[in-house]
Amino acid sequence: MISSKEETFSESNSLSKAFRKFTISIILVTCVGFTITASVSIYNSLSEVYLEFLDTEIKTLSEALEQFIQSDLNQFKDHGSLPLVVNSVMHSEHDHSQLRDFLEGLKVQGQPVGISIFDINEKILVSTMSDADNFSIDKLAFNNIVDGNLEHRVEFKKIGDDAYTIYSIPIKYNGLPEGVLVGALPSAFDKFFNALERDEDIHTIVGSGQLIVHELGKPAANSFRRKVNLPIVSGFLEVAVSRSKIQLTIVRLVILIFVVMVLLSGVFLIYFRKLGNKLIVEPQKRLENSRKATREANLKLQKANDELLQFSYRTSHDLKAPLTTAKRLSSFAVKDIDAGNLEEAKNNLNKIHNQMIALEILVADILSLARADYDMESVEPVDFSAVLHEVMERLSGLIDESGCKISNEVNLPTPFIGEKARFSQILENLISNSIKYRDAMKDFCSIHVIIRGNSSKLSIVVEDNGVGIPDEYKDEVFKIFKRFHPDMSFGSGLGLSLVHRHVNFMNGEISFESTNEGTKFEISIPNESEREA
Amino acid sequence: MSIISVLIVDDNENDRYLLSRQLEETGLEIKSFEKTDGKSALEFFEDYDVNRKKYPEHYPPHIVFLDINMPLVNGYEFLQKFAELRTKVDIKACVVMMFTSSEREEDRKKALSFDFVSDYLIKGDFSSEQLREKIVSTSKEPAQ
Repeated sequence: MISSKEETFSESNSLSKAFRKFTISIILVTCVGFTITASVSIYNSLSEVYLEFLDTEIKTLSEALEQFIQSDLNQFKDHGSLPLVVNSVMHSEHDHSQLRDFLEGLKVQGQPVGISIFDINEKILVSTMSDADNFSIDKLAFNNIVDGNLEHRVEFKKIGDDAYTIYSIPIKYNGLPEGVLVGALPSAFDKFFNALERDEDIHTIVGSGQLIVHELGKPAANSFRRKVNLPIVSGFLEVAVSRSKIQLTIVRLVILIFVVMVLLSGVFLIYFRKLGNKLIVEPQKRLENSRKATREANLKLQKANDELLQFSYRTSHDLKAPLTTAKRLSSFAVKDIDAGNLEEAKNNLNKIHNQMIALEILVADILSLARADYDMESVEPVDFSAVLHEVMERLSGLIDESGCKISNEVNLPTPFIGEKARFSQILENLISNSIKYRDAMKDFCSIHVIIRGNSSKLSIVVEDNGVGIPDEYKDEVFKIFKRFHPDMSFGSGLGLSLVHRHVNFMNGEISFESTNEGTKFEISIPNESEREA
Repeated sequence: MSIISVLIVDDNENDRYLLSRQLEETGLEIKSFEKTDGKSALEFFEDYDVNRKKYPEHYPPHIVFLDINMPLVNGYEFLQKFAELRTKVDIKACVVMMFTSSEREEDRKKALSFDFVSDYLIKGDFSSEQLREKIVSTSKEPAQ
């Protein structure tokens, strides 16, 4: 039965392990899957929103620019025939028809403005100016504008009675900066270039203008002051810049979400593990512990049962044997009397008498042994000096006959609580053993008894200079009916078993050392409060 | 019939005495040795050469009467060691008769499982006549 239960247990144990592995895998897969899905969907939806936003922004800005140009041009209605020169940089392969239509449609006082559109290779794509072929540009400045290294803005300038507007507008194609449109509204080119040459800001800002000024080498005039910044144009650039910023923000957001999900996964894992421990592992541990306790209890019971069997067998044998012997001896005694051999009859009767004494001792010892496992009498402070005295009285015949010298030392600062009868039997058995197994080869027989105690335990030591216990029998000292020197003594063979049982009952410990110099038994018994604990 | 020599191995003095009395009553001519435990009995056989000189006519004994419950070396331990000893010294003619108060069947079987154990006597359970018959039949066997 036990083994089949163990199999079931180990099966359920491996099942629970498999279940835990499965749960952890599911949680991990779910967390990682959720993180990836969430990240992708957030990225997609944000990208869509962002692109929509960009398109709207660009559209708004374009409209605003168109309005501005129109209104700006309207300001200069009074300037008469003002050719508008627009230098634009585009990619030749792209479709510029819309832009061209827009530029060609621009008119000042009903007259078309001069417009030139260059491609990225400085080739004129379209021009409304008759002298467009002569309009050259500074390649370095041109590239700077294309690459976005120069700041683009719109300037409004007025020199004397004449006004100029210089545009530097990034051209976008499919939402990306592609080139720069540069234009000016000069009433007279000379004045315009003079103004440009005088203005340091414009030098650094407007590339193509710089080239022309430089080429013409006109002296600078110092009367140009008015400057207007137009936020709409810079808005185009901000949108472009913000796109990359938003992309970066999205990447950061995704990383953040991933980290949060990983942390959440960790928390879930810990939680599920604790839950698993509570639901599966702990009850299993408790079950295993109780099984272990049951097994141990079974083993103890088995051992006790075996001991009992052996005990009953030996007891019945040892009780029956002297009776059988006495029966036979008495029949021989009768025969001896019939034969007139009275001396032999007397011997036999004496043998019967001794047999009866031994039997009486045996029965008394068996009773003591049987009672040793139960409470014997009331528990009270034990007067060890008195107990020792009583034991000596009982053993006085044996002591006198043996000539053994028995010394003792009792030192108990605090009274020891216990059952007096147990200590009486322990001391009597140990001391009588020491007397019975004295060494006749030694000059004298000496036995020393020490009883000491403190608040936590009691210590009893009985030391003799007897024959000692042979090494090969040291494991069997406390077994019942064991006697190692049958020639030397009498006894039931139960004495040390009884001592052992009493010590066990009081949760104490007993040990011994023995050589041919003598034997020393040491007993240690915890005080009553520790015994109960 | 010549003198039969026996060894009584028993820790109980009274039992040794009773067996000796019964042996006397058989009317046979018997020389008996006594040992009080299995250990000294084994030594009695181990010191074969010494004892052969010491008791030239009666050693080794024809029959060993062996108790089971004894200190130091009990009856079974004696039987095992005795079986080993039979391969070393010339004691093959020596048979063992158990002499015990144990009536347990398992004790009987265990003892009789040794081929040199010829009988299982329960103390106080046999008469001197029965003892005589057993001894006589055992003593005849080696001659056959």
